[in-house]
Order: sequence, then C-alpha cells, then structure tokens
Amino acid sequence: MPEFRNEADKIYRCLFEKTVPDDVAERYSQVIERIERIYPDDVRDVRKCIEQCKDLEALEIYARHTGKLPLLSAKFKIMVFLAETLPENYGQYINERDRVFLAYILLGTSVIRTAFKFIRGAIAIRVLRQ
Amino acid sequence: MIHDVIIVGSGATGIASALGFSESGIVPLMLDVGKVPAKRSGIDGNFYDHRKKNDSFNLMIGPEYEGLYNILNNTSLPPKLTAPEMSFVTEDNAELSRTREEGFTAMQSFARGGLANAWGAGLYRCVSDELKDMPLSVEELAPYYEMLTQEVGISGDSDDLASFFGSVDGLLPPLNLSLKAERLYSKYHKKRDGLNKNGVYAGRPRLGVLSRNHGGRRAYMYQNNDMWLSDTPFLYTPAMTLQKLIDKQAVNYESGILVQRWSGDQGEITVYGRRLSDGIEVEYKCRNLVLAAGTINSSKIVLRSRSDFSTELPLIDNPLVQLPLLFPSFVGKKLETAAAGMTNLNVIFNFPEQRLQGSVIELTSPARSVFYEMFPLAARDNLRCMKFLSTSVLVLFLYFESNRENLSSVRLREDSVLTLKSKAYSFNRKLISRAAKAMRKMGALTSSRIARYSAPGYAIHYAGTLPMKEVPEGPYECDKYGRLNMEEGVYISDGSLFSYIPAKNISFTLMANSMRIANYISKRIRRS
Repeated sequence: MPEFRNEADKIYRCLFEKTVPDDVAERYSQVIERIERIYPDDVRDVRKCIEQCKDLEALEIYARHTGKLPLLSAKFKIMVFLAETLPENYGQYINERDRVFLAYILLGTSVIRTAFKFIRGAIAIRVLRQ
Repeated sequence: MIHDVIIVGSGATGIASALGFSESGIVPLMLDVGKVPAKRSGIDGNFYDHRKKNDSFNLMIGPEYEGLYNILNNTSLPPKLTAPEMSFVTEDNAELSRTREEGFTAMQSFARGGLANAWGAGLYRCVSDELKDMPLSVEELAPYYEMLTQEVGISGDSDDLASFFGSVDGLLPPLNLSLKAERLYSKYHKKRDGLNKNGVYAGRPRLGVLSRNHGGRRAYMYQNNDMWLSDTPFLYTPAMTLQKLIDKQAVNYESGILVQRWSGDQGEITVYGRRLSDGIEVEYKCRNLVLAAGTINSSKIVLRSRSDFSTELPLIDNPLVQLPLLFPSFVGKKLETAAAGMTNLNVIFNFPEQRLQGSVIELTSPARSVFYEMFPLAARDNLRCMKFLSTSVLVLFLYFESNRENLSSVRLREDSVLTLKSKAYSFNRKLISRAAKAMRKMGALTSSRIARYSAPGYAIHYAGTLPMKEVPEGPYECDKYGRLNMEEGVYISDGSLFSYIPAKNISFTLMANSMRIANYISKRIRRS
C-alpha cells in the first residue's frame, strides 16, 4: 500500500521530524481504511491535503479548531498512538528527568508556535481550495 | 435434574451470591457466557521498563487495534476497557445483547468475572443515610461486608473518611501515595479545620488492591501494569473467588450459555438459554433462580420472560464530572513510573444540599497518547504538553447521587433489541464550583470551567430497574429479599434492586446484599 506509506511518512514527519519506521507505516496502513469509513465525506479532501500541503501540522490545527476535516485529526491521533509503542520513541512521550525550567519555556513557545501554525493553516486551506 | 439454585452471571454479585450459598453448603449451578482473556502479553515487571526495551504494540494497541477503539468508533470508553488484554471484558457485546442507545452509553460484559475485570476496585461500605428508601439497613449488611472484606483483601485507613465509609475492621494498610497525592494530602491536613467546617473531608480510598500478601495472593508492586494485564493477583476480581469455589466444588460452573428467559410452573422454574458453541437452545430446571447478570441484562431477561415489549423500566446511574487538578510545581518533573496509577485519595464534599464523593486518580497507567487530544495546541506542541504537563495532573472523578431529574429508561423491543434512553444529565454547577474551590485550597490548580461532564452511563454504576420495596406492588418490584413480585422462586441479586445510588461506588454493597439474599434463600431451602 504505497499511498498509505507515503501518508504515514508525512504525518510521522510532522510529529517527530523523522522518516516513519517500517513497522509503524505497516500498522498505519492496516488500520487507516477503518477510520476512513467513519468519515467517508472527508476521504478525498484529506488525502489531497496530505499529498499537497507543505505544512500539514498547520492545516491540522486549523481544521481541528474550526471543526473541519475531522478525519485529518483522527489520522494524527492514530499515528500518535502507534508511534508511542516503539521503544525508540520512549523519550518523546515520557519525561525521564526533572526539567522544570525547560518545560515552562517549551510550553510558552508552544502557545506562540500554535498561533503561528493556526494562521498558516488558514492560509493553506484557502490555497488548497482554489 | 432439578437444581436447588441456578445463578445467572459471574460478575461481582453472582460470585457474592455463590459465596453466600457456599457458606450454607448449597452448591448452585452458575450459568454464564464466560469470556476469558485470549492472550497474554507476558510482561511481569514495570510497564515503563518494559516499554523502554520492547516494541509494545501487542500490549498497548493489539493485533485487532483494540487500543484505538475510541478513535475508530468515535466513543470515549475508559482507557482500561480499551487495553488489548482487556478486550475479552466487552467481547461480542454487540451480538450477545443488542442495544439501541439513545443518549445513554451502556456498558455490559459477558466475561467470566463480569465488568469487574476492568474495575477500579473501589469497594466502599454504605452508611445508614445512604440506604434511604431501601428496606435494608447497614446492620443487616454488616456480617456480609465483613466476610467480603476478608475474601477480597481491602486496603484503606482509619481516617477522616471512616464516618462516610463505615467500619475499618479487617482492612489492610493503605497503598503508598504518589508524590502529587502526598502533596495534596499534606495540604489537606494543614487546612483541615477550615475545610472540615465547609464539609470537605479527605482520606484514603477503600480498594480491593492488596497492600500486603493476603489469601495466597501477592501484594501490589507499584509497576503500573495493572491497567494492561488481565490477571494481576494483587487486584481482586470476582473471577478469583469463582476459581476457588470451582476448585472446592462449591459451585457447578457452566460457561458458553447465554440465558434468555425463564418460565415457572408450580414451584418449578425452567431456564432457557442458548449454547453459544453450536447455537442450540438448552433448558435447565431449578426451584430458585437468582438473576445476577448485571442491571441491564437482568432487566432484559425479566422483560423477555414476560414478553413485555411496552414497559419502560427506570434506570439510574451516578452522574459523573471529571475535574483536572494541575500541580504547577510538577510541570516538567520526571514521570513517576512507580506510582499507584489508580485512586490515591477520596474527598467527600458533605455539602448541605447533597453529598458528593471525589476520587483523586493518578494518571500514570494509561498511554500518554490518551492525553494528546486534551490539549488545544498544534500536533507537535500537544506532544510536548503530553510529555511535560501530564506529569503534573491528577484527575478528580466527582460522583453525584442518582436523582429523579436524571432518570433514564430501559425497554425491550419485539426484535429483542434493548432500548436505553436518557437525556443529558443536569448538574448542580454551584456544587462543582465549590468542590473546585476546596481542591484549590488543597494546592491544586483547577476550575469548574475545565470540568468534563460525562455522558449518561459513563460511571457504569447502573441500578434501579427492579427496585426492592418493603411491600412490592407492581410486577417489576421486588421484596426485601430480592424476590420478584408475582413470581415464585425468582430472585434479583444485582444493582437492579437499588432505587437510589448514593454518590459512591456501590459495588461492595451490591455484593454484600447479594450474599444476604443467598443466605435468605439458603434458609428457605433448608426449611423445605
């Protein structure tokens, strides 16, 4: 299923800035049609977005907050769950040492980054619709 | 062959009933679907140590993608019920008991041991004012509470909550608190007088989790694996007692049978069921039938036996609100991988209007991904929040008592589909604000504005369909020993009997009541 491998890779890169591991891509491919059945109206648009959009994360945050393309957010969630099971991602999910100061800095910048992504997402969705 | 007693169901009340009969030397036949766990993930250590070294796909997601159940079905089951090894608890529910849910989320189980396989093991006695409208007293339940305390092994403490949770006799020491719970509890003690003056009391929960070895089972090891495994010896499930009773030949257990209805004729009851292996209809005969199939299923069996497709039976549940409690000094702290990932503390809000019970739950057991969608940020930022903020959060499950305003209903249709109807529960938001204020006094950052209101049925404390009355009048009422009105020898022995649920988990009271009913039936059998 090459198209799902490609899709898995794009979402995984968004989350972790790395190529998707084979195991995760395969598991993603096996389950993704099940989630597409829940949102049949979104399938074509979401596949097009994933294929064409350069900043998928921006598109997803905009879509999530405006109630659009729930399938896209569901695909992100599935990837988050699948990726957590790999030992190599352990540190991405579990905080293994006290980093209080860093945490506050990161959380502060996350809010600013999200606002920026939201605006980018709004622009991206308009471009895609044209 | 005519059995003295047939028990339907092997959940908490079915097993308590069997235990009650075994005290009198009566050997009942137990009919059950009896689903069992299909697979073993094989971890026997700390959940997090395991994950560092191993691909945990089979443990956390599962080959059938059970771990993604909520995403794939757009639902919000508690995380424990979506753990792959726990999938047997709800396996084949849709086929075995077809339901139409209109605003009410119904959880049923056809597993050996019932829904209790996935419970939080909160086992609280009721106190006198919590049995209102019931032809039942705490004194009548006391000996059964005591026997069950021995059987289960319950940890707890003699603290400020003793007057709300009843006798402390026979309790094992409480479990260790997580660091955040410890902080909360020490703040409570510092501000205790003021909080008590406002009706707020905190203390340790009563849990069916062993703090030390008990009855041949080993103590809890703080490894956070209990949410993921189906056979943890330290966390009591009724299936443990069932196995003991089978080994002692104190019960004849027949699994793979779905009981559908009964008919009675001059003191002889015929129970009709379907053998699931080949679909063949089977019959059993008995003099006493004890329905302990869980509120929803027992109601279905009763309605079907009477071919009643029009009556709407009342259904109650505890309305539930989840209130996140943030501890700013724990943001960015390392995750406490050896904490007890379950209820650490209870808080009673004894307000003049009504009493609420809060369970303060440590969140170290679920996958971190569960928290991903709770934050409103961009995907990668949500991952950061999940990692750094989830270490600083506890959640308060705030239970409300059942009330007439939040009444749901059950009706059986002619095509055997059970219709469960409810409108959205109404909550007294002022009480939630006051509870949040008290939690802030205990050092947690929270507000009623971030409360999550659970849908009807989410608490999974169903009751009230076949209420117990001093003098039963209607056909769907029972006498004080659970005997269904207008039936000879048919007893109800589960939550169906309780027309009111206080703001607490009443599983322990249901179990004690079930033993009490078994004791009564045993005496009648001996007399005859």
